[in-house]
Amino acid sequence: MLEDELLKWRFRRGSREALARIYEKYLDSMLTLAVGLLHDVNEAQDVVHDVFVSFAKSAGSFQIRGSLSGYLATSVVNRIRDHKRRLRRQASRDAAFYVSNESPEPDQTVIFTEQASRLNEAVAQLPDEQREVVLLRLTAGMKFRDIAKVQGISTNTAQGRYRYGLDRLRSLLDSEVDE
Amino acid sequence: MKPKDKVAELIRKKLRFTAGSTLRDRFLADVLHAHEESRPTAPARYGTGIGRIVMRSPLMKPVSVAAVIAVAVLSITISVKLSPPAYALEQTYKALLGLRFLHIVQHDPAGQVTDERWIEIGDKGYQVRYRQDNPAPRNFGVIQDSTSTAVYYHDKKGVVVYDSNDEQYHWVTEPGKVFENLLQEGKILQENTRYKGRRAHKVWWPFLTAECYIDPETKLPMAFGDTEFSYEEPPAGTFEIVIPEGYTAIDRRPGAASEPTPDWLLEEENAAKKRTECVNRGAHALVRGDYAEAAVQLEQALGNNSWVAFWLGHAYCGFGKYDLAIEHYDKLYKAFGGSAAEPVPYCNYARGVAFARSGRLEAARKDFQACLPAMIRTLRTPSGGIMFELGDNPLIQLGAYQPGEREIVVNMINRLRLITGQDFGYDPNATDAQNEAAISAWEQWLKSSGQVKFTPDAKPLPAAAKWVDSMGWGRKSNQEIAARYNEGWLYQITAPTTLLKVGFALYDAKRYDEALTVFKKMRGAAHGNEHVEATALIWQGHMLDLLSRRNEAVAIYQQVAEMGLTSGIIHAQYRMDYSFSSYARERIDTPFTRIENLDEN
Repeated sequence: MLEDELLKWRFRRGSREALARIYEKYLDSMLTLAVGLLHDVNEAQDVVHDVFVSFAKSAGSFQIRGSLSGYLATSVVNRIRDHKRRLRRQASRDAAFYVSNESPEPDQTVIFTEQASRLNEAVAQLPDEQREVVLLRLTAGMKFRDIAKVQGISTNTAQGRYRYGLDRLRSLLDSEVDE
Repeated sequence: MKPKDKVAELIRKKLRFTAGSTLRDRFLADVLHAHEESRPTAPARYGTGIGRIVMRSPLMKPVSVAAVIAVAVLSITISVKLSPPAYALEQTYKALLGLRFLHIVQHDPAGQVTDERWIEIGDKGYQVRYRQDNPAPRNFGVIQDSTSTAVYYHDKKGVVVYDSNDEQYHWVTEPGKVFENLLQEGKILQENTRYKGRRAHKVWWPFLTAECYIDPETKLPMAFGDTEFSYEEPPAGTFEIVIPEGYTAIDRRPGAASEPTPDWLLEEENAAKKRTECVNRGAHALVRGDYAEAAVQLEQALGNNSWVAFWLGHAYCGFGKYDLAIEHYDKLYKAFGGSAAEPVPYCNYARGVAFARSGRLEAARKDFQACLPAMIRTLRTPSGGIMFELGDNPLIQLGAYQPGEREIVVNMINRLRLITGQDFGYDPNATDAQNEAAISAWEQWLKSSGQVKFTPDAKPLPAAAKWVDSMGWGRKSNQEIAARYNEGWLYQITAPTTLLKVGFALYDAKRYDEALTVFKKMRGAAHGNEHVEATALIWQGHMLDLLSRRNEAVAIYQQVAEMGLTSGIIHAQYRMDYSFSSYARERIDTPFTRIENLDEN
């Protein structure tokens, strides 16, 4: 956390190195969060790209009191909500996993394990609200208090959604958990 | 552990999607570009890395900027055919390694000191303490001890004290790297010549893009241009931060009492901030060829660093204002101590081009003759071309672009063709050995004739890697790539992703033998990245299967299977996604059969 405070401070002062370090440190967790929420690698890439580009542009006005990870994760969530709203206005499309026919640059790769793929499939079966809480808690390390703010609910409700989400995942991943 | 906790642990540890290197690099480039375009504050002055160098005065600029690129070029091995001299560069390198203090003094043409630095070098070749004094008209100074940095604005009778982590000044971040460059790429030009009446060896120091003089007794560098080196211990108190009587001290260190910033410092900081913004905008405008916009922005950025005047010269040259261009090139030339006896090659070159384009061919000829030896030396020591690159592309200083060694040489050949009218057949696609004849011919030409001839219609040499990178991954792009491909690209292209694209293009064209060669080259370029290596091997296996060399294919797949990789890759144009090792095991059982590229462009 101390490192993050230092990174925030340096980033506010225009440091490219701090930005690059923040990017390196959080790219994969934000990508994991976005893939989990969207269930589409290519769309997740777009979201994460836009979050970091927007973050980079914010150096001059960057002001946060909370954690860097939480800030970036909230940005990912907000963008995905916007994205989903736009999608709902469009004709529904086949949400092919891993491979999108629409990818403008097909060889931009995302590395994953088979187990990660299975876990993601399980997470995808949670209701949106539970999935968001579980992923924000476990991939972005956010506090329930902050997750509650993102969802506009009480901390107790956020904790409840988390518990229900884990129960459901346990039943979906029974054999894996017992390994 | 409760089952629920186990689930949480599993998700936390195992649910992970990792951006591949191509994606990572592309995103990072976009992120840094967005940052550069919008950055409202001065560049970071924090940390000790080689790229974080504060440039405040002409003396440090040539070397500090070069330092940014040095990491990439220091590994270049150059074979210089010389008869064994009595003096060897290794002697100087060894002498430099034992140094603790470096004293650097720059003079103006009248012999007055314009810039003086004291540097204490630590065990690992890094600067540990520093002092800089710039007398009038600049009236500026810096003292940096191990914890604080004091910046002196003598005109304002003010001192701003920072934590040394927040504000750093350097000559170069790593003097050790500069020394190493001399050993690795330097060249002895003349033994037992004279420097200001003293006996000296003259050497080419690529990192400094300068001819330097070495003291034959101590083997240590004495000078380059009008900058002189010495190595004595500084007087007591040199690195001691003192607030002179009558000066206002502004303490910006963490924990210091918050005091209002004086107006003069606010003005200074705001002006510096504005100049930095203008440098960024001007640099990008210059690179995209918007010379008018570049000129507007760079005019406002003058004073940010000495290179701004040079780039402004390029902007004016770009839209035909040659007198203004020459005037601005002259500023850098003078700032870096240029004279008839001591050329500043990149300045001479740029000014010569402006003279030539404005029809003043005799003035151009003089400048071209002055820069030719350095230009031709760069063909064997690419790091010697760094300043030319920096002058032509300000994005290097902004950290947004870094030329490779082949690119530096190709660009230098293009410059040589422009000012000489000669063409000795250098081929960007050939090996170094194949290009040896062309480089020797350039060297021979300089010795025997060296007559310049401005040739504005000289056609630049092509650069394949950039072009391939600009293409897509679909059928149409691949057809174009395959149509243009030649074996020479194997020497010109070194990036794994670019090689993968070329390999796919040849596969699409059913040129499996050639694709196999490209995927082998790609494996060689993996440099320990197992995902790159596995991808290259799997596609080698595919090509071997298609060439009916099944036993060899199985042996290759076996290698990937044994790597035990559970990670995978997506080739969406072929609608393929696979985990490396499990896919390799499948291919051991079943040969690969051709699949088509389903994307159009």
